[in-house]
Amino acid sequence: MTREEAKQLLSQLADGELDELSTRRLLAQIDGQPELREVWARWHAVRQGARDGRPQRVDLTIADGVRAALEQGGSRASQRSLQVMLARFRPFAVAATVACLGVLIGQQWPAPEESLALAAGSAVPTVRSMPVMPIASSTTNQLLPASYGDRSSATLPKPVAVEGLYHELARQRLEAYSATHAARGALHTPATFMTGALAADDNRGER
Amino acid sequence: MVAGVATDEESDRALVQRAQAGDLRAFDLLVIKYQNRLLSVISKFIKDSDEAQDVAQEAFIKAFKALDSFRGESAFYTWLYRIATNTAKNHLVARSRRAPSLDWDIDDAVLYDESDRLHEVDTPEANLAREELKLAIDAAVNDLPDELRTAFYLREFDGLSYEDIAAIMDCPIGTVRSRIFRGRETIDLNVAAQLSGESALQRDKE
Repeated sequence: MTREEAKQLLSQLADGELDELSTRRLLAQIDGQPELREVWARWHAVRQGARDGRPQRVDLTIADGVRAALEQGGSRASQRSLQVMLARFRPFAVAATVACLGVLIGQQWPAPEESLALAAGSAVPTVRSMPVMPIASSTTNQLLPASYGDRSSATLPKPVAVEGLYHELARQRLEAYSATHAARGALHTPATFMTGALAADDNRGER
Repeated sequence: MVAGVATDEESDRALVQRAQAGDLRAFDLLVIKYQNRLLSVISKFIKDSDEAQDVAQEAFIKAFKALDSFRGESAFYTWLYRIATNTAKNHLVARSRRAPSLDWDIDDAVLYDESDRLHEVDTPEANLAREELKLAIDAAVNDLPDELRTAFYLREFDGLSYEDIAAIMDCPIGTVRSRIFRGRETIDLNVAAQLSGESALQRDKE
């Protein structure tokens, strides 16, 4: 869409004569043609001037500020929703990891014939690096310690402390609640007891 | 019916619908359209211009977050106006300052000419710039060819729809659309030149 075509559609939008599909097409052009915002501002300044003889100032400071704040808020909101989604799927992720480990261990477990051969003391090739579960050796009658390849089980990573995560979750919830509360507050008049208190102060002053 | 209000509402409705679907660009156009009017309303409560701008910005952000609750039962500007006045009052209460009472009803917000009061806080330089802008607009409108001027006048001064203008001017709607657009473009050239002259003057002063 050329700049001229976009401005023609903008003119129709200003007059409430643009259909929904064309409105969408026009809005999609605004990011690529930022001067359309300035044109829109000037047209409305002229309109105001035509109607009441006092044209508006053409200044996009407030609009720029609002846009930046909403874009920033949008990215923060998407980050938060990602965190919530991750938290929701964390138990499934742990379960899936455990299941995968189980499958891997199961695949590397000696087959029944191999176990029989091992029990018979034959020269069946074994791989030291394979993780093995503690099993009773029929030849030595001793328990073999579990190992992860060459690493001993004693060097396994410690469980992650979840207490901190709960604190973070609680903090985020409190933050979200405060934001919602503040937003709803704007839709209502200030608390009457506060304005009442101010009025009482004024009365005292007059007396 | 006040001239232009009906078509303004049509335009707002289209943009609000897109904004409710999450399109920030649609809301941005609404902000640009109403930022001066809202600022003048807030300036009645808050005299400091920087503070008033911050509160206006906050009011728009709150409006966007509450946009789902807007059902179109009133004009968008009336709804926005209510949020702005409440935000300004809450701001004053939070700063332990008493909000001034208004002597007119909120339902008259759309019809009320706030620019009278805006002049109270404007500087002489700003008033002069506005006056010059008005002269530039008047001159540009008068210089338009008859057909463009008539179409523009019926649209912007009388607030008629394209269909009504087509009936009055006895021409197809497409012609009306084109004439109004060309009229706007011609006037905008003058306005843009006037504004760039002002900003050049401002730069020279600085």
